[in-house]
Formats: sequence, structure tokens, C-alpha cells
Amino acid sequence: MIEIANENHVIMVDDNDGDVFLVEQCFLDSKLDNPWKSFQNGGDFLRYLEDVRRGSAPMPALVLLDLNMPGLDGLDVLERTRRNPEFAELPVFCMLTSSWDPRDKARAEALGASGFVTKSDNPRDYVAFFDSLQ
Amino acid sequence: MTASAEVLLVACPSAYARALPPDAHAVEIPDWREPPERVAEPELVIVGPLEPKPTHAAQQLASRHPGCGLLLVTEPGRVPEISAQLALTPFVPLGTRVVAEPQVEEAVREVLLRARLQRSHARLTDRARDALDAPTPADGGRGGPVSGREPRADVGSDALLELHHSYKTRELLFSSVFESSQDAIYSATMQGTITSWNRAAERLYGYSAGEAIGCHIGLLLPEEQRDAQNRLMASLAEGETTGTLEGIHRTRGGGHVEVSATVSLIRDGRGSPSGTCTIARDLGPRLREARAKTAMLDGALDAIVAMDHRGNVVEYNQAAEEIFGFSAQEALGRSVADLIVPPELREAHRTALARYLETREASILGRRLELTAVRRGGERFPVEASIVRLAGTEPPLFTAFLRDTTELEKARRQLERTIEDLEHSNQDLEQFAYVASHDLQEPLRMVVSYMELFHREYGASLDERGEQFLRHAVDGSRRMKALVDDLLAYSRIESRGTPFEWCSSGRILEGVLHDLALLVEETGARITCAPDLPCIRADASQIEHVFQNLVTNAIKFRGERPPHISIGALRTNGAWEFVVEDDGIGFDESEAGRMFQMFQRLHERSRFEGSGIGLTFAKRIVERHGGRIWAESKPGEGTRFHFTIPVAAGDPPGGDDPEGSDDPEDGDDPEGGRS
Repeated sequence: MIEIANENHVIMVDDNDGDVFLVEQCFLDSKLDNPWKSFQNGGDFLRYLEDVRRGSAPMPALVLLDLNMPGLDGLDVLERTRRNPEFAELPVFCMLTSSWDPRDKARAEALGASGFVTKSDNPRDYVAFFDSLQ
Repeated sequence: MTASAEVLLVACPSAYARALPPDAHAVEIPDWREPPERVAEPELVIVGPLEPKPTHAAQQLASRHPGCGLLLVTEPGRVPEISAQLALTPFVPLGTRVVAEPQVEEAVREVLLRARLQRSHARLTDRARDALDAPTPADGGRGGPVSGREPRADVGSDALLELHHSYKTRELLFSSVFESSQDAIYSATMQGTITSWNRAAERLYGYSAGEAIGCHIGLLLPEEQRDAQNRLMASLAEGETTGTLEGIHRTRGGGHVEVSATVSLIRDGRGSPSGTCTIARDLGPRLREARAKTAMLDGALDAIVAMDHRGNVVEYNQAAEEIFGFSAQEALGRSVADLIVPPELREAHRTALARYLETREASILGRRLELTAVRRGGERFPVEASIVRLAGTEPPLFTAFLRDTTELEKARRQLERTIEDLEHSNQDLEQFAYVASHDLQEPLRMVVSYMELFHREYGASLDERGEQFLRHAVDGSRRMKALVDDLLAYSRIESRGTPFEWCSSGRILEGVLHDLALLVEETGARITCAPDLPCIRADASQIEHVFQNLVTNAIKFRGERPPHISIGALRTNGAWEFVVEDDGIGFDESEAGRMFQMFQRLHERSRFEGSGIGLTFAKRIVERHGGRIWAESKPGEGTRFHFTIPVAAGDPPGGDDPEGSDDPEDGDDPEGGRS
């Protein structure tokens, strides 16, 4: 059972601002009280990770990574993240749409995904997820 | 002289009877066709001038009375003519004379004498012969008792005997050939008067011998033939010995017959032509056969071309004319290679033929070939052909049957293109369904999630009406989501379907019932599964969907009482047929078609949940497996759903249970280590 790593940011990487806002609301409703951060694309997130490496930003507590993004997609981001040994243990949960392809899931696992969250239309599911990390 | 001689007078005036020698006993008959009741062997037969067909009469009488003398009496002017005819008439003995009335008496004596002489000598030699063959008497055979004469001593009687013998033999030989021949044989004088006529001629032309003999040969020839006949006669006169004419002859009553007539010249003892002998063969049967064969060849749709060992065309049917554009006249005799084989293949054709003639082997004979041929003008086109060597022909003859497959090729290519197009179209549709449903999911999810969120955050401040509005909105979007999900899954049946494997339908059903346990309990449904559900080659998870859909439907569309559902399978031709039967509300079978269409519903929405895609889903899955699905029902009397899965070749591994069992009596030791 994965637990939240520290008290730093919970980060969501997703190009869909509707999803980001929704999950943020659910996060705020949940028992976790970490700060929240979000990035609209993989490139921005990876640049943030550079800052973390240099020490100018704190190590994130949890990353929610949408797999289905234009440009640099979730799997690319995951791969590059895991290239750095520093981020080997970083909890990265890949977000799957309800029409997920088993092949994508398999690849994500192979690249080191810590777990999966299926995008739900029921906010309760997200709240329950965050609660379970405590 | 012996006892009184019998003389038969045929068609003679009564005066002749008085001209006979006193010891002659005359029997008069007006017509040889009506013989008298009893005539001992006559020594002499006289055919008188009252007989219209003297030579024919002579022939008949001679054969009736072999060994008799024969005399014909006719008008003085006709003596040479009748003599000539007689010379060509069979059976008529040597020495038969034709005379005019004044010479009757004299001729009678002469002929009688000769006849008697012949007869007595014959009797003498017979007796002499018998004596030769008989056991010798006590005196050693010298001066034997019979006649006192040594049989060999008399040269004259021997010569006569020889002559008699050889004549008889020849006569027998000739008569058997003449009468038994299947071909018509008839002879005529140089002027064309028919003098003999065999049985076959009677059959061929329809005239009896009695009718034909004495008539002119022109009777048998239509106008068109006469010139040819005359030319033939002229050439015979100039020294040719025979000639053959093929043509139409006339028969009795205006009929026609196709004959091949061989005419030969007959010469008399001095070598001058005395008449002709014609052998006529009915070509009818042979021609009919040839015509039938041509009709058969010409009726064929395929070109039939026969080739001889030199490579030339010897047969060429009508279809060949149409297909290749050369008429039979143009094609016959020409080289097959030059005519219909494309230029670059001619060498190969000739080589193959040469090799066959040497080795009697050719791989192309007797099997289906796809070749290219050329027509008149050089146009190349595809043909389907088969070439055989005609059995029994030496040197060999070959027949080729050729079919112009230009249209067939076009159709085939068209079909391939259409299939390609359809495949593309199918892919496009699948892709469309996938993309549509996939891209619809996300906005839907937004709608639903935010409405939920809204409800969470602001639900408290809504009044009852507000609550209702929200609930309907959420409900609608939920249903839409279900539809889109179903559509997506439907579009993936092929593309996300896994390859077929052996699976136990019994186990799959167990799994489904396990999943539906709650529903079963709630509704009190009683479900019976047949114990012998088969192993099938299928996509297990897809079959699971089908069972789930059908069982759920059976439970859903129940009547007032708790439903009874039974599931079984039976083997039909080449497939397993599964049946899911319930005793629920049933439906009108005439609506069955709609049932499998997407999103159609047969019952009101409010009573029964579900998006309505279930059966369409099941249908597509079953069809992916190569089976069929259908339903039988009557309103109020339950429903039977059937679906088939083809039986696969081979046996499932491990007998009836391909997934193995936990039975420790199995070969493998489940604790590890093999036994």
C-alpha cells in the first residue's frame, strides 16, 4: 500500500483543465493537507523536476500523471522522470481514461509507474483515493 | 437315252410344246413366279417370249433348278441384247442359248443333248469315285464290277467334270458374295440396262430384283448425277477400270440416299467391255455420325481445336472461330503455333511437341492450364485450357479445349478490388465508431463529474425541484455514458478480440452465474445447466459476454413468477448450438429482426433497464466466431435464444477439460516435482 511520501506538493500533470480542477476540489475535500500544484504539459513538469534536482524546489509527495496528453505524453514523461535515480522512488500514479488499453497499462508498469488511477465521473472515487494514501 | 425328259416351258406359246422331241414331257407354266406343284428335276427350262423379263426369269429358274439346261426364246431383234445381258447374269449356266422362234426346235435338241451329257457324265464320275473309295474286291480291283472302265482312263469326262466342278464352285462363291453383301451390287449393260440386282440393292433403292432388272440405270440417278455418271462411263470406255462417285441416288417413291458408288468395267472373253458392275454403299450412317459429331463440337461454348503431330490444325469448331477470329477454312491446315500462340511462346510450343513425339511425355497434358493466346490481329487474351492426346491415335492427335477467360479475369479483379474496398470501409467504420465513442467519453465525463460535484457542494441549498432537475440531468448523462461505453466496446469486438483458444463453455457459464448470484437471489430465479456443455474454440471473455447478456435478459424479461431458465447445448452440422430457454414474457417473433439491431427495444423503457445494445453485441461476437444467433418466442410463453459456435477440427487438449483440474490424481504432482 503506497503512502504519501512527505508533506510537499501533490502534483497533477494533465492538459485537461476540467479534470485538473475537479481532482483539485476532491483533493481539497480529502483528508490530505499537502499543498497542490498542477502542470498543463509534460515539458513544464520536467523543467520543475530540474529545479527539484538543483535544490530550488522541494521533492514532490505524489505525482498524478495523465497518460493521454498531446506532445510529450504521459509515458514519455514517466520514462524521463525515472531516468534520474533521484526520482526512482517518487510515487507516480498514471491516470487512465475509462477506455484504457491494456497495452498502455503494461508499458506504464514496465516504465516504473507506481500505480494507476482510473478517471472517474464520481468525485467520491477521487476523495477515497486520496484518503487511502494517508 | 434315259426315261422321258422333263421340260419346263415358261411363258411359252403352246406351239412350243409340239416342237419338243417325242420323249420329252412338257410342263407348261405361264409365269415362273408361280411354280407348278410338282416338277421333277427338269432337264430343260425354256423361257419363252411372253416373259417380260427373260434374264431375270432365267436367273431365278436356274437357281431353282440347278443343273438344268436353259433356253431363252425371244424376238429375233432382241437376241443380241438378251444374249449380252445373259452373259452378265449369275446362276445362268454355260451353254445357255438365246434364240428366236424359228430356231427353237433345233436349239431344244442341242441344249437337251448337252444337258443330258453333262448329267450322265456327272453320274458316271460320281459312281467311279465311289468305286475308288470302296474296299477292293477279292480280285484286287482290276476290272472292277461297276462299269468295266478305269475311272482315270477317260480324259474327256475328267475335263468335263473339272469344268463342271469349277463352275459350280465359282457360282457358289459368287452367289454367296453377291447376295450376302451389305453393299448394293448391280450390273448393267454398256447401254445401261440393269441385268442383276442383289438383296442389298433391293434394300437400298427399294426396288425388288424383279422390278429393277431390265430397267435403265438412270432410274437411280437424279438429274444432277447424270453428267458425272456419263463422264465416268466415258473414262471407263477409254481404259480406266474403275471409278468412284459420291452423290445422291434416287430411291423408290422419290426418296434420296447418299451413296458412294464404285463402278467397274466387265469385259467379255475377247476383252471388249460388255457391261458395268456397280457397288454402292449407303453413306447415310457415316454421314449422320459425322454430322452429329460436328453438331456436338459446334454446340460447345469452348473452342475445340485438334492438332496433328506436325503441329497443324485438323479440327476447328464454331466456338474457335468466334474466339480466335479465324474461320475454319483459314485455320485448317495452318500451324497452331503461328495461328494462336503468342510469338514469344512459339518456340516453347514447338519444342514441347518435339519432345513429346520423342519421349511420349508431356507435363501439360490432361490438366488445367492458364495460358495466354492471341486472336486475329495479334490481340493477346487469357485462356483456361486443357490439352489431351486422343487415345489410340498414331501418329498422335491432340485436342485442346480452350476457354476465353478475359471476362472471368476482369470479374475476378473487380471482386478483389471490391473486397479491398469493403475491408477498408470496414476498417474506417470501426475506426469511426472507436474514435466517436472514445472522444465522446471525455466530455461526458466532464458533465457527469461536475454535476456530481455540484451536487456535493451545493446540493444542500437546492429545493426539491432543484434536486429533481439535477437528478434528471445526471441520469441522462449517465445513460449517455453507458451508451457510449457500449458503442466503444462494440467497435472493439474485432480489434480487441483475442485469438480463439480451447475453452470450456461450462466453466464460462459457471463464472457468469457466479457474477449474477445477487440478481439470481433477488429474483428467485432457478437456473439449470446441462452437464455436458462442450469445449469450444473461442474467445472466452467474449463468450462470457454472450452468456451474461442472454441470462440477464432471461431473468430481466420474467413474468409474474420467479423465472425458470435452462441452458444446454446440442451438436448440429458442424457446430455446437447453445440454447438459453426461459419461461418469461416472451415476444412477438415477427419482431425478432429488430431485436438484434442496435439500440432497438421491444418493451417499454420504464419497465426494463438497459441501453439495448446487449443483443447487438452478442450477435457481433457470435458472428465473429463464425456462428449464428436467433430467437424463438411467443408472447406469454417464454423465449428460446439459440447461438451456434462452429466445431473446430482436432481435439481439445486434456480431454473434455482443457483448463485442467485440481484433481491430485492427475499426472502432475501439484507440489512440484514430476512423477
